[in-house]
Amino acid sequence: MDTMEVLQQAKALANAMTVYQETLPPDLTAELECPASAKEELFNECEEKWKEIEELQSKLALIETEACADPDLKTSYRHKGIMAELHHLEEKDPDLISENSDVLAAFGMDELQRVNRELEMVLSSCQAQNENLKKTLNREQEWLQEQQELGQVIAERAAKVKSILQDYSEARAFQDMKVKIQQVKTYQEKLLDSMGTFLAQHFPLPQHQNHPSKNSKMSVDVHENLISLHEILETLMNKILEMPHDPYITIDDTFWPPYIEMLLRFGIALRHPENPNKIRMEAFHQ
Amino acid sequence: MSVLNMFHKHPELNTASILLVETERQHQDKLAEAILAAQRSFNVNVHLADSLPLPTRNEANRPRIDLVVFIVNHFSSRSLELTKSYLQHLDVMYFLGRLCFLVNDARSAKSDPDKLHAVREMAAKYSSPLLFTELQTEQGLATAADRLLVFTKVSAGFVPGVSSLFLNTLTSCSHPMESSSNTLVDTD
Repeated sequence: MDTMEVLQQAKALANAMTVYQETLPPDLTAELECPASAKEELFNECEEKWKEIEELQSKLALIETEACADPDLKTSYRHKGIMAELHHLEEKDPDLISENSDVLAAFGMDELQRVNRELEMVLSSCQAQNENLKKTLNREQEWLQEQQELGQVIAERAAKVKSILQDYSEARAFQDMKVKIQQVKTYQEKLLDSMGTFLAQHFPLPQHQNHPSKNSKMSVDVHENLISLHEILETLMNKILEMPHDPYITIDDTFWPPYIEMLLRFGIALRHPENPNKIRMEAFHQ
Repeated sequence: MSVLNMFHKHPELNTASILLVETERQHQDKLAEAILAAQRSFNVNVHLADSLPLPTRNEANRPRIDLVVFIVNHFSSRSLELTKSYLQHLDVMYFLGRLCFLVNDARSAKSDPDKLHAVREMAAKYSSPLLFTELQTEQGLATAADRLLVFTKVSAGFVPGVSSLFLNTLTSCSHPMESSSNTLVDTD
């Protein structure tokens, strides 16, 4: 028994030390040693009460009450009972438990200790709840922040998309297209230019004056009508782009045969499958 | 017809008695154990019965019963009928707050709403509390025991200033929705 008490006290002390040391009032020192006279007085009072109870009990036992499952009778009893209780409550004077100050002090101490215990429990449960709520709050705040960031990003993106949509108009698209066409045209001219330069430099027209002895068999009038490689290519290109259904051109004596041969060999031009005098350009653009 | 009388016996000092009535005797024992195991400030006697009236030969040894608890098996209509017939053997004073009905496992998928409704109607008719409990689990047993002990404490007079009738006005089962609407229509 003693060990149990010591254990409990130790437990209570540990509780007080760890959890709510700063908020805890000093322990109530239990003064449960009542003087013998007070005990005697209480005993007497209890005896009196018990006698009273016995008297009442004997009176009650004389009253014959009916057994009944009849709800109406039950209701009337209920009504009577409640009225009697109401009457009693209205008439009742609050009376003191005891006149003895020692008894009252002991009672008060008991009551205080009980309240103290209960409040301690309330405090600890409140603290636990507080802790829980704090955790929940933290979690919720983190979540809120995440959601806010997400919302910001989405709003930014939405604004961007919106501005793009607003700026988009026919005139602007037209302008863009024009600029692009211009760029492509410039690029094409540049390409043509450089091709012309390249061709003029590397594929000149045969100069019969340079090799009079070697090409003596060739007639002079043939050379006079010859067109340059540049012109051949241009004709071929124009033909294939303008008349794709019939891209062939007829070879006549203005075309210098070695150039034709070269174009055919390198796969730039193709001969007509039936007419050997016709060639067309390979369809590079398709 | 023998009747269980409320005030024919002397109360005992700091002791209350509960009578558990269950026709099938399924949960009685466990509930009694739980009541005895629960923390309380007074002594408790638990009496078990499967029917009323109680046998007369033990009459002298039996203490005053402070609270009568009927455990109604809402899966069988026979249990309900028997419980109704047992009520005939109770002193009218028990109906003033010393009576309690207890239904087990009402959340079960097998439970029949009509029968539950009938139980509820009975409890409302006798203006007694109706407790829904889960006696198949440890925790449910402990909770039911605690709740019964609260009623017992009041009906045995251990709470100064609160009578069982007073508590009963707050805890008694109200009429189920449908029947209350019916009575409304009737009064109109």
